[in-house]
Amino acid sequence: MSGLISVSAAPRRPKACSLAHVPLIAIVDDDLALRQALAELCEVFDFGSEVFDCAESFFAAHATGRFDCVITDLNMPGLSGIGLVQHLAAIDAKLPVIVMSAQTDPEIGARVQRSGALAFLSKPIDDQVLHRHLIAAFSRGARGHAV
Amino acid sequence: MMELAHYASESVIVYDLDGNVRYCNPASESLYGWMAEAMTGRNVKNFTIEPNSGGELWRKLLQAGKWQGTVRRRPLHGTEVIATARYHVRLDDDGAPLDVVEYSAAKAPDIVSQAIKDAAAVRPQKRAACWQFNIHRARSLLAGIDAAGDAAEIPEWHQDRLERMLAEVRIIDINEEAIHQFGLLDDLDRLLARPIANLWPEDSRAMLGDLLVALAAKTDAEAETRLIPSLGALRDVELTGWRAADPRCADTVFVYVNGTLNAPSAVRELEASQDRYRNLISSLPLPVWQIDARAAGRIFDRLREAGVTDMAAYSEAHPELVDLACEIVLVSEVNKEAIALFGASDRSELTGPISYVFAGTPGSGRRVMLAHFAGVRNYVEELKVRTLDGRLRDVLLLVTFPVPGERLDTTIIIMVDNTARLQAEARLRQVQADFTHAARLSTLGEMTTSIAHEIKQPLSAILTNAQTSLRWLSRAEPNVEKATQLAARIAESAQRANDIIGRIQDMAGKRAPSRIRLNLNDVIRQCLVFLRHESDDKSVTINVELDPTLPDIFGDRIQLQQIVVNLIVNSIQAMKPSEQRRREIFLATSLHDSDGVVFSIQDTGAGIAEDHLAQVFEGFFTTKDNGLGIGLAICQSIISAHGGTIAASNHPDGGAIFRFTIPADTPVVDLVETRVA
Repeated sequence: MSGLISVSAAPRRPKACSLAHVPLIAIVDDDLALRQALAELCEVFDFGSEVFDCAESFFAAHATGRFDCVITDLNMPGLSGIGLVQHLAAIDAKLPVIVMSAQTDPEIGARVQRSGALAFLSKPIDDQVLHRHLIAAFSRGARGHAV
Repeated sequence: MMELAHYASESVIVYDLDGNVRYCNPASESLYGWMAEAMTGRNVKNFTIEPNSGGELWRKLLQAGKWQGTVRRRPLHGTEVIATARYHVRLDDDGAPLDVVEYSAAKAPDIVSQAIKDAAAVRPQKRAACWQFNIHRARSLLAGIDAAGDAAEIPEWHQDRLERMLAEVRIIDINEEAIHQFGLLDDLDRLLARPIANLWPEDSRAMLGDLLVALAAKTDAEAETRLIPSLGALRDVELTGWRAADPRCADTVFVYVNGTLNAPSAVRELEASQDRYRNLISSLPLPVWQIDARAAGRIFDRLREAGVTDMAAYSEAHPELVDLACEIVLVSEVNKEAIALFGASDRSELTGPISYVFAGTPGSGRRVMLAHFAGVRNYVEELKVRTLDGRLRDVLLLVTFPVPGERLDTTIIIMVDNTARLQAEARLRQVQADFTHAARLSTLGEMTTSIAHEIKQPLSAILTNAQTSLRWLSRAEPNVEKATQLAARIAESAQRANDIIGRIQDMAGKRAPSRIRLNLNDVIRQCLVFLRHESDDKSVTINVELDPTLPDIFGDRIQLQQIVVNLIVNSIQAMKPSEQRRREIFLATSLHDSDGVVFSIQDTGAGIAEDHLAQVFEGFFTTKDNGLGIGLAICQSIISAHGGTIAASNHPDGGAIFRFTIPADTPVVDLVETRVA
């Protein structure tokens, strides 16, 4: 897995949606099982999602306004989660990022907050907690969003 | 057997179990004066006067398997022969008695010891040199001189007449004391039948001659005495001579030399050195055997004369040679350590034929014999010996053979008990295994972050999938299909977690090193996966350059992983965040001299202090606060076991470099020293 192979699955769209706009979440994690699990969770939330195995392939697919939120792992080969947040802050400041990690080091948490991420969640992630943060992310974005 | 017996200087007779002669060798012909053909078929009772108590001896011999003692024989012509004989019963392959072998050699008539006892009664003396001469061939000269001379004065000798006369006087026997006193280093055999001429000190030859003349003229066995101021190292010497009383030994003359030792004297020195030697041997804290191997030496001489040069081949073609050698080579002395080693209660249980020494290790007797034949000074072998109470013990056998110029009857064997050493080696192996195990665990201790990380991945996936399933199932229309799919994914993740645990257990478990063909690049990649979290966490960049043409090596995958992990972790820890800006590791593999692989790892840390460089691989050397200091020592011993070397150095731009090489495709030796065969 040292190469930067771009992997992105076809976007999932929920069958029924009550919103005019179905939020699209970018899921960035180098672990396949977790990527899939998060995508399935987004689906049962009735959100859309696209998965990426690394920050680079996410940025390749990024276009302003395309995604409503990004969920990213902290430790990845190549650009790390924090790097992703910092780079995104430069090119698309309004796009909220939720960072997750298996690490519990409080110093890491502080660094993540300083980088401008919306939230820092520890793995294993609780679905209700994630849902709450995703809703917060959409409402923040929605303020600047043309409905 | 028969062919070899031909060469023996002792008489060898083989009897069947009833005591009938089957074979006798040339030496027995000359000893007993009979022809081999005449003897074959005759029963031992017919020609043995003593011991002969109606076959009692024979029964006892067959029961005990061996016997030794004095025999009196009735030869074909002439007088009785007294011989010392050793018998042993030979067994066939099933252990049943086959036949009986007798080795015998002439014993000088008891007259000598009797004479010594007589003389001792006359003149109480602890030790005296005693010679036994045969003057038969000198008779004419003695008579002539006597007629010409005057017994009252010291006659004038014509030197050449004296020399000629003494040249005809033959030595029949001589005791130990005479050998010492006269400084004779030769083997008794080589003295026998030689003329006395050159062996008697020059300044007293005339006196000896005079004594012999007088004795020759006598008709009785009364003693004659001559006084000499000095003889060799003695002064105030009394030469006493007498004719043998027994008319069967008409030409036998005994000469007894008694005097006071000069001080200082070579003889006293010799005696003192003999005493020191005896004391040394008896008080050495090691089991010592003193061996008389002259009989075997004589056989070797004869074989060499007969053209045998390759004794190894000869003994293979004649396996009975070894058995013969072990029978005729005799243990003459043992010290108390030897007695204790073999569980004996008395030295007599260990003296006699040497065969018991080699009984515990087949082939060892042959090897010692070959060393003897080759004329080496020392021979060493690891040996198992069977003690008298049947135990098998491990010893180191050390043999020292005498060389010409030394007493040829003194072959020395020392045995060093190896049992304790081998037990200690086994314990050492156990400790090393424990040590390696501990090292694995200590490396693992440093890996907690990575392990926790690795396990959390599948656990996260499991939790999320489970929660998602619950949501699907709690909808107004439960989506069972989704739930099923997610349940399957949960199972997969659980299995993955299990595999990770298994890998960790492998690292922690104590295993014997395994040797499989593997590629170091694969090993490194696995380690990098395992360590990725560690390096990312500490913000260290690992630059990897693996030579794709790297040849395979033989090794233990887990051990090699352990080394690579250890070196990488060390490098990471060497670049503490507070001190460094640039935290990079350069890891590379390449071909080494076309027959091995090289692994090198360089960091951008502070490097290794110059005066520590020599010690980094020593056990318990560490510069870390919490370090145990065994990681690199273990690395070095694993690399050595793989036939390679590891070294540490500093890069000119700063930072340390660790480099190891492993030869390609060579079988690997055990971590523990292999035993010498």
